[in-house]
Amino acid sequence: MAEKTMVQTDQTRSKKVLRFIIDNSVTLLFVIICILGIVASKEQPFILVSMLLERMTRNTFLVLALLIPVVAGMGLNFSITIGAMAAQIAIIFVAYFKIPSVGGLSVAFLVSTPIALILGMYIGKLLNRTRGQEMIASMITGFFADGIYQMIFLFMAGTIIPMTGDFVLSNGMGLRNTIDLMKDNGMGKSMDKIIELDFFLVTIFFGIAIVVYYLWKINKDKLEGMEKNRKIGGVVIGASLTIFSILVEFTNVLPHKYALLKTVKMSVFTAIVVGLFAAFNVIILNTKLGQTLKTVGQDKHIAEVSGIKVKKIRVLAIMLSTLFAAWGQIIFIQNLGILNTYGSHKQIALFAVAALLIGGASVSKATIGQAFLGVLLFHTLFIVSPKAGLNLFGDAQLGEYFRTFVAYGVIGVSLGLHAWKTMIMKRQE
Amino acid sequence: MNLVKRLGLPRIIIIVFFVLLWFVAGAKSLPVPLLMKDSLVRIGMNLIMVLAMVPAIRSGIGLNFALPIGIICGILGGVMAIEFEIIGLAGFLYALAIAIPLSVAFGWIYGIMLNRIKGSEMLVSTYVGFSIVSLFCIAWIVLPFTSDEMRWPIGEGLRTVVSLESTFGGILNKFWAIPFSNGFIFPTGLILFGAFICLVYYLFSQTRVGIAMKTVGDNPKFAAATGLNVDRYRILGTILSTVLGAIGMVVFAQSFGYIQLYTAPLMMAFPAVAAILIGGATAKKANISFVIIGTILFQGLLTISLPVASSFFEGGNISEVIRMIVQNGIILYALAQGGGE
Repeated sequence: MAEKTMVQTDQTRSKKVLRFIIDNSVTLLFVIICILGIVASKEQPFILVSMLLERMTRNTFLVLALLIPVVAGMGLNFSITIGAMAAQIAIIFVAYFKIPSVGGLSVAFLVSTPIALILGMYIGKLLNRTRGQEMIASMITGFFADGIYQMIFLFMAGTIIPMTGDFVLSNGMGLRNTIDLMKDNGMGKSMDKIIELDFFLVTIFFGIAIVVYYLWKINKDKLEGMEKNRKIGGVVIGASLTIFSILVEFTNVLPHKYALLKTVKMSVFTAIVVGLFAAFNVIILNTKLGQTLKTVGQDKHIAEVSGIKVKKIRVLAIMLSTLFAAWGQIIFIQNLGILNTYGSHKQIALFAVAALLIGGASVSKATIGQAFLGVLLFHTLFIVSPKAGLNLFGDAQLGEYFRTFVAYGVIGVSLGLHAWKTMIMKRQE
Repeated sequence: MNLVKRLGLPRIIIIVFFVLLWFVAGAKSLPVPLLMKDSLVRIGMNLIMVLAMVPAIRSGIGLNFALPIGIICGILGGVMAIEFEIIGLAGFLYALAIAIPLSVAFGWIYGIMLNRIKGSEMLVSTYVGFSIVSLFCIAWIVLPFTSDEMRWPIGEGLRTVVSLESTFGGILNKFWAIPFSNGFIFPTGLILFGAFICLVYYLFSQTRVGIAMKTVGDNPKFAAATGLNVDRYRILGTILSTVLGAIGMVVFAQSFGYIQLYTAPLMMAFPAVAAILIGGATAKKANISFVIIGTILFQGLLTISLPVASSFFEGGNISEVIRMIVQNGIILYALAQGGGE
């Protein structure tokens, strides 16, 4: 008897493992690709970690901006490009009037907000007219808006819009290709510089926070058995992180090859902002608004019957997404320290969507964990692929084409699989 | 008012804009015959790629944003012709002979895939198109081509732009071309070839198979009830669209005089989609007259906007910006019309 149940649990366990592998095949595949890429690139650990840290702090906000429309059942919002354009309008404004440093940064956030909200409202209304095709419509809207954006800054700036000075091209029409935000105490890096600490100093505190959180949990809920063991596991992980970080930060335990890791810097303020925004995305789902969004996402008809103004909620979801994309783009650009007037926004949607999908999200379900994991994997690939291409095939360009292919390919495959599943489900009904 | 409703505001704006630009060109005494020649060439070189939308729409898969699959096949044909140094008309035909079977194979596989994702064809096909183009970016570096015409003098892989001057560049454009004294040249070969392909497609659409395909696209449930194999006709539509895309690319390249590799074909589906929509098509309805009208309006507009604009002010490629706005505006309009509630 006992043997039989043992066999059964064994079977269910192996089934569970199989399910896990199938459900997370995209993410697992990328874990493997990333590991192979890291090995092939022979990138120095210091460069890899510091670049990854920088990219995670500057890109995650944009990826998180995608979450609310997914909850509202509108799929992946490719029109976050337009939020990015709103941000760039604000950044150009700040740079033009030479508003310095953190002040400029704040003004950029302020100015971008109404622009993004108004644009978001119109996008939302448009997407309401293209139900069932929201994603392609949002993508084309992005391209369309790019045309208008270029029209404004290539032909109207300096002619219809009174702009002068070194921003404007020598013939008096159109803005220059790049705007340097580091010059003249500009807003470049101003957010990152507010608090900048050693990465391992930060992880000490992070580890302590984990320990405190789990101890508090154990005390408060009076847990027993498996649950308690799990929480104790959390305490152990937190404690080991703390100890490891202390050792790295204050002694010379790291082998010579990794010694530089000690000096990796982290933009703590930016990271906190991203963290708070992630928390906001979790919290909002537990509010009344969050419930409404979920209902709309699950079944429009039920939502309609229960008195929810579906169209308004959908517009609101896109407005929020556009606004957050604008703020995300400001964080992104201030980190770069340079604005590519006609190019900085172009790839935003592609990279954000690809990252989210690599993290294991789908058109109808996405979590903040998937966003973080996706950014981590996607940007690891981004950093290592040119060098891996160079080492394996003697051509860095090859690696760059590979990562573009991966971005497009993962979106194509994920969208295709999702469409296939939906079709099968429809048929079963 | 009725006409306004039937055409839709965006089309009326485009038509008015088109007419206005030609008048301005005349009033500003720009070389109108030359502009007409350029327009005609651009219309001829884009026509077949626009025609490629018709079988896709007719068979029910909608606007074929995965046109780059066909385009890549066309490029492969052209590149093979250069590799084996087949020049002149033979090179052009050889390129077609390589491109067509390839595009049949690719189109067939892609058609099978499309049958699994009914309802999301447009979105998925866009990313399938993008993926294929970026995959071939790798291929252009890795594939073992040896021709010095195409390889970088130093380093790996093929050049980004390959000249067709010594092979089959302009082979159709120069064929029976009729020069006029005012500078206008009628590209007879190019126009004849386009007309020929349109005619062949028209004849096909009148056959039993062509009519069946249209039935499948119009009303799949009814078609299935009458015993037609819906999925098979959808695959046929996809194959035809891909083949036309491949032929269209070879014609485009010979007229342009260059083959552009790497990321150049990435966005090529969009002008073709926009042209047929401007001509009056929707995601469900298309015929050859829409193709012709749409190509004339869209390509004509793009050709003339640049010289007219630069007669007013210097600098900046306004044609490119107008292309982005008009092209994506009309696609959005069509999406809003099709999916509106």
